[in-house]
Amino acid sequence: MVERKFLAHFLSTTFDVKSNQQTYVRIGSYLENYQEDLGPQVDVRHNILGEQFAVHNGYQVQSAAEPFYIDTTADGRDKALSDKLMEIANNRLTGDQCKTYRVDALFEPKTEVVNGENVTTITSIWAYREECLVVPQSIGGDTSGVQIPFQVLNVGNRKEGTMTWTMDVGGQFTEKT
Amino acid sequence: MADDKVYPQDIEGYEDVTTALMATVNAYPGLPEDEKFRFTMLEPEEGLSIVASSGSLIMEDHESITGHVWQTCLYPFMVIYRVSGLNQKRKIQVKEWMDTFARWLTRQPVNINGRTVVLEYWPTLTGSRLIRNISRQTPAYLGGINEDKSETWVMNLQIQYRNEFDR
Repeated sequence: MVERKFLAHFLSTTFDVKSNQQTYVRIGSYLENYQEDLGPQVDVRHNILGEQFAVHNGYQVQSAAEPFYIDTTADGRDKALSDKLMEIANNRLTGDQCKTYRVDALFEPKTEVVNGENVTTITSIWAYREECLVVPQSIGGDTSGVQIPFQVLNVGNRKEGTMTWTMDVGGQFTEKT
Repeated sequence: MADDKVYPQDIEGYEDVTTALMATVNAYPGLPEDEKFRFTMLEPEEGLSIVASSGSLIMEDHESITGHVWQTCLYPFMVIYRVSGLNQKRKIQVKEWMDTFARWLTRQPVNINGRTVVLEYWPTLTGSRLIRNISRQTPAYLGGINEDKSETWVMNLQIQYRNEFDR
């Protein structure tokens, strides 16, 4: 079984899909459950012979991140995304102002012996980037902390590639050529 | 705690919280003159003591999809005040002193020598541990009368703190 932490989910805090410089943050520090809901559009019908058939029109993909605790500490790992979510929510931004990239990637650790020492590196088995809308759902929550849960709605331009990620350097998506 | 469930222990947290708690209680501005809290010790006749009831218990353990772990831990403890030669008036004074001390430790404003004082912040822990709350579980009560007729007054409190780390 693959440990859940090796399937990683990123959002670009650049919020400009035309920019060549995307800054990715990994989401999920306090999420015990997060999935990319594929929302398959399947219509099951019966023909005049009484046989069942299905029409599969595509997918309506979205994800919900709840809870998401805002992070205002200067070097906080969720600060950049928190700032952007608060900007969207407080200014009631819509449309392209909420558009950015999401990247979902499955990683695997590989351990190699380098100069007699075990060195573990993380490489992506697959990675996909897609444009999405990030839409905050509410601000507030219970006494555990200020929350701003949000939805991520895929809006197309899906690309396959590779993803690198370290806590210090951040993430880098490279599109497959 | 109402249930009999056995909870895992946060060993490092126990030491950390004990150190912070002892520093805090011994900074109480209403301490009797020449009196200090001791940890799990009592003078033969008189004295103030903090007794940790059952270590630091990990009540909740959560792991996020990124491998980030956050735990809610409880550190139950007793405040013990052993005094001798008590008459009715002194008993009331001891109980009132303990009640006032508990209000201060739970960050409520209290009046000491005509001055209102408040514990501004929860005691600071090291690393990624953070105290979220200190609460009182019982009023001050007479826990027992010793052979030398000294009385042991007791009060139960607990510290709730959070611990976070990456697994």
